[in-house]
Amino acid sequence: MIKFAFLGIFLALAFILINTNFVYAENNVCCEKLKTNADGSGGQWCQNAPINACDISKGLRSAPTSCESTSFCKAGTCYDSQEGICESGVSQTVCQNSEGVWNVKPSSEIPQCQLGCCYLGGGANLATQVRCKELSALYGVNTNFNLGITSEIECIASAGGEEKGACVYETGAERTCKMTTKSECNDLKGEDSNSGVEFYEGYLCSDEDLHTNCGPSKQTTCVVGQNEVYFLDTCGNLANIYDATQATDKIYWSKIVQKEDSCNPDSPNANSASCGNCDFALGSTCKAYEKSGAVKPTIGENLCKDLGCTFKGKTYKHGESWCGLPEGVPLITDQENDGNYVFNGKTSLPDNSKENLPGSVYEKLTCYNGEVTIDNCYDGRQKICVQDEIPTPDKKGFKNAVCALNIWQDCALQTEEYNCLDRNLRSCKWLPNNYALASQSTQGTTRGACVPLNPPGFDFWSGEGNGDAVCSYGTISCPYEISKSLLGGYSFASGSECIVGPGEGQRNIKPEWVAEMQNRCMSLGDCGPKMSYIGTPGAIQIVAEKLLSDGKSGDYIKSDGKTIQTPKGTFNFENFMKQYLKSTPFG
Amino acid sequence: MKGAKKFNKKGQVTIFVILALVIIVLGTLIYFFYPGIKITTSPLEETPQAYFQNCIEGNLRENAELIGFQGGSIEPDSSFNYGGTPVAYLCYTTQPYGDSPTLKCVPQQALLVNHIEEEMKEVMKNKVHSCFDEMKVDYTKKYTGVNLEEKDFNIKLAHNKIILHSDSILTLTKDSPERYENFDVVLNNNLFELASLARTIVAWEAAYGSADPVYFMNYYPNLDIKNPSPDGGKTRIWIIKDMVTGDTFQFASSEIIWPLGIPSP
Repeated sequence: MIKFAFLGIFLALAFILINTNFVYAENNVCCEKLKTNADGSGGQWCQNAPINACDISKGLRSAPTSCESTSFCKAGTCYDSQEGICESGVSQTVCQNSEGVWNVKPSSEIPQCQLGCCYLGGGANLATQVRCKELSALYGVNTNFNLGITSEIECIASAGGEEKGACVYETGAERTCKMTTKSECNDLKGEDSNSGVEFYEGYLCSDEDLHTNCGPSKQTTCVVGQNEVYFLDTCGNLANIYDATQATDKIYWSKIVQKEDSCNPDSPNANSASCGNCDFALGSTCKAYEKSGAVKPTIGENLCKDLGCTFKGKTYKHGESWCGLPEGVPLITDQENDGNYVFNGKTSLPDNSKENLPGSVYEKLTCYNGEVTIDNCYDGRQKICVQDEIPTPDKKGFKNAVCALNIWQDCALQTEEYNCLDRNLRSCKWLPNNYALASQSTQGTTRGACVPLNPPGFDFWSGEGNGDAVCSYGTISCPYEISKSLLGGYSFASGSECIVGPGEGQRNIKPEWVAEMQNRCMSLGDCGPKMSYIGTPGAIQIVAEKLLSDGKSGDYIKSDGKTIQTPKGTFNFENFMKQYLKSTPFG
Repeated sequence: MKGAKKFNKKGQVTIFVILALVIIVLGTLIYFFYPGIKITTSPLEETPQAYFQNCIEGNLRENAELIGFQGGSIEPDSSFNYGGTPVAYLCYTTQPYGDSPTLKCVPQQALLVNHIEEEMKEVMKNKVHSCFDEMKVDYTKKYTGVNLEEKDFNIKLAHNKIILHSDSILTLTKDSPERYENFDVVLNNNLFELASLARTIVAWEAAYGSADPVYFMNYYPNLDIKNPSPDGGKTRIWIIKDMVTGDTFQFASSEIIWPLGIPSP
């Protein structure tokens, strides 16, 4: 009986089988502070790191546990009793560095940190009582604090602010008017040059019955801090929101009309020639009309500018985000937001020979305030861009994208299909073949392999990653045995899945087996014969070794169709690979 | 003669037209190219408080801007070099994905507003002292007696303002003594609001992982918030800019997914 061993060895960027180190935080301790390096890096507080990274000078501490379990780095609430500021999630060390008082309890359980509504002038915000006193003193007003209001929105709404109106007064021979609050109007009474000062709440200065020198005009304006287009009266006071259909309406120029009662309140009114009721949240704001713009306002020089964007010929709404399509990454959608991705709108799996290529990075784009921002998700596809679309009444939908964590790290550890495909825990796919990962034999009970759904890339150039180790999981052996009958014929005892033959001169590696193994390799990460995102091919080696029946050296090795003669004698696989790699660009 | 008279009249009109044109052109040039009309008055004609404000304000503005760009510190302990600017890490982690279920960072600076106030005080110390020194020297030229009792000062960040307050007392004597106290410098600046928002973002990231700038921009529409990552995702620079005033605060926050590789089973 002739015994051959046929080895298919898949290699990606480099080769490490021995002394594989998983750089992982297995020996981490909690450092109160990290050492500061010569280049100024380091020096951070409360980090889990190897003990030699800890700064232990000046009594700084370290503990052989995670920082959350230590007294000095446990997160709690930091309180400044003088300023009345409370901050949650701060470690004791960091708090004490800032001379704060630290408490392990959450801020909601600390009496000094109870928030209430603090009224300051015309506005209000949530603050502690001490903080409110401090701010009131700074503003020179009496402290007005309401512990019963704990919601920011309720607090702001409760402040209300004084109602505005027409402040009519005589100055010289003129009866004129200003739009003010009642208290501002009262201030005008104190000025010697003014007489007959009267306040008309809710009225506009242009109201005919006030008999002032202010009247309707055909001028509009934008106001800093507000989004709407406003009419101006002939005295330069703000009137109601611009509405061309009301331009000559005496009632519209008589009393203040609220935003919600103005023209098209539920629409952004972007590029509307007649309505200036812009809405930032809906995607418009007041801007001066540009001659290049398509629409000219019927009256005045201002209109609601569309805050949407145009990018690569497509239009996007203000606030929309979507995934970019840089070279080598698929478009991933997750319409149900359940981790069941659709790739390029078609398939449930990416084509890893064309997508998730070495060097590629997912991109998230955002349209905001008329500007498109492009963010790379994370190098090495450690984050992937996933988008979905919310239905909208205009049926155009509203796109929303996130850079989601690519949870591929423990795919290779999964041996059961249902664990592999649990998208709540990881993002993997199951290859239903007979080849498990790592150097396991095909002869066994394994039914497939769990590999990353979106293969990651490796930061091999910085030496920090474990790309070699990850790719080595794709290394596989397919031993075969051929028996020779007494009549001179050959038959497979094992290995027929990977070998053509068994007759002499026919024996070779099966192309379909190679293709399957290549796909398996590429699924692991930046491994195998993948093209890079700029079209440079990767490397994969299929090495055939003929062993003699006594287990001694093989006399030929095939590699990519080439034949490399090996020295006679005992074949040493490791030495061979070292020599082989020296002859490659990876050597 | 009649023709000469007519010519003279024509000549006069031409000269006036040319003069008018020259004045218009000069006026236009001055309007567009001169940075601003400055009315120069002697500092001694101002009140000592106004003198102090003028002496301090420019330096206070520069330092507020610098501190804003550097994440709240003049010399950050732990920073990321962003385009040559050391931007303080306000939240940091070396903890890789796998050690914790979410990618949270650890706040590196508590009570940020107080910290900025202290940093501002430290960096303004010499300027405040030198302004009082200059004031003393200058007022000696006008007054027979100048007595300065220089006392401590503090800096407060308030809504839309930075206030530098000194308890120093200046007594000027010419005919009778005039006493000046409460030297305040008020700078219109949004550092308080921007730093408070930075602290909110840090609290978010420490609790839930990386935050989305759009969420905060929707809440504060007057702010432009950018969140670029210059190192491929590990560090994100938060740039918070008030679109009305132009005031900016930026800080660094880290998020680590390293190491690449399969955790040991």
